[in-house]
Parts: sequence; structure tokens; C-alpha cells
Amino acid sequence: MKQLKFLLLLSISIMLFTSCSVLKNPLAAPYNSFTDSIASATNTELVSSMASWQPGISFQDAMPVYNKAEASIINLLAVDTTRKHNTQIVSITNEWLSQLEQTKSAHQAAGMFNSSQLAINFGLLKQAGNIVVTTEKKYK
Amino acid sequence: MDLTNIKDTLLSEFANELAVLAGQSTEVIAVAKDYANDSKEVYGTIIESALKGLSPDPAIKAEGISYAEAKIDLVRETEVCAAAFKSVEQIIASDLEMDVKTFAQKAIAIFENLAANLFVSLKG
Repeated sequence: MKQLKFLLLLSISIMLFTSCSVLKNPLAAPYNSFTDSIASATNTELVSSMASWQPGISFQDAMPVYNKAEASIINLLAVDTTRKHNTQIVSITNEWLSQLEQTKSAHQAAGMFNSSQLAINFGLLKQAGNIVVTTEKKYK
Repeated sequence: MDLTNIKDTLLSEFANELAVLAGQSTEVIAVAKDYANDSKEVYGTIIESALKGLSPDPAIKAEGISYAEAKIDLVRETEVCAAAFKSVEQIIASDLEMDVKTFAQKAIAIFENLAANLFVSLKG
């Protein structure tokens, strides 16, 4: 009887211990590795391509880079919309897409980017991409 | 206490309480600083480019942007800043091991409590 009581107390203790908040965090998936990898790869590719562009870059030459990044971000958005408590992440990813589309439109309208237009659009897209990648890494 | 004082006290106390709720996380502060540096850089580039666009020297002017373009770019940068703010909100919620809904509920409860206490002081 004493042994049974001890075992009962032991199992209750284990249950309480494993359900405490200290253990919750390491056991939970820290982030969605799939969306993180899409965001990181898209941002790295877009930033490295734009960093290599010279002033005078034509829209025709830049278009494949924009289109590829656009398709990846739309794919990312589709997954993000299915996630738990997704209001911020969807809004942030949408902002990245919006910045990419505005850059694409501005480049198309201008025909080619001068050094300032290139630096501003590069800065905006790099910043928006950094925000998405950082959020994807921290988002639970 | 007048209404202006109440507003100022309420906002500053609420900010303090939120900082406590966020746990003064060094990780969150580092991310916010990183975003702020990015913003500063982009704002600087836009302003510098607009000044180049105003230059009477055609060679320099060709490297700049018009005032109209600068205005659009400043709006775009402001939109990115709003996204940065949302990201920090999300990270704070994650950092606290809370979901966003719980975080918002706690923040609203703190705000209501502070407001109720301050309005009592107004009646007095």
C-alpha cells in the first residue's frame, strides 16, 4: 500500500514537472523551418542579385530576378496564412511583396535605374526582407 | 490632476508596464536596434538622393531623384517601418512564451487598470 502511494505521488510529480513552462519552450518547435528556409533563400538571392547590379541596369535584365522573388514570396504567403496567430506575419510578408512590386513598377516606368534609384530600392527590399526573415526565425 | 497630465502619465506608465511585460528582453532590444539602423540608412539614402536631384550640375542631377519620387519613397519606408513594429510585437509575444492574443489581453488589462486608477484621481 505504501509502495502504491509512493508510485502515485511519483507519477503526479512527473506529470507536473513535464507540464511546467520551463520544459514547454524547448519541446515546442521554435519556428516553421519550411517558411524560414523560403524566406531566407529568397532574401539572400534577391539581395545578392541586386547588390551586383550596376547603375543603368535595365528593367529587362532585372525582370527575371523580380519575377522569381515574387513567386517565392507568394508561395511563402500561402503557407503563412495557414499558421497560428498569423496576423502580423502575413501583414509583414505582404509588405515585402508590396515593396517588391513597387520596385518592379518603378523600374519598368523608368526603363533603367540610376545609382540613387538602385540604392533606395535595394535598401527598401533588403530592409523588408530582413524583417520577414527575422520574424520567421522568432515566430512561434 | 488634469486630462493632459492623465494622458501623459497613462502613456508613460503603460510603456513602462509593457517593457516589464516584455521582460526587458535583450534579444528584442537587439532586433529593434537592427531595424532602427536599417531605417536610418534608407531614410538617409532617400534624402541624399533627393538633394542630388536638386543639384544644378547635370551630372550630379542625373544620379538623383525628383521630389515627387522622394515623397513616394518616404511613404514606402514608413510602411516598412510599420512592418518592423509588427515584427517586434510578434517577437515580444513569442519571447514571453505567450500567443499574441494572450499578450494583447494582458496589455489591455494593464491599460484598463492604469486608466481606471488615473480617472479616480481626476474625480478627486
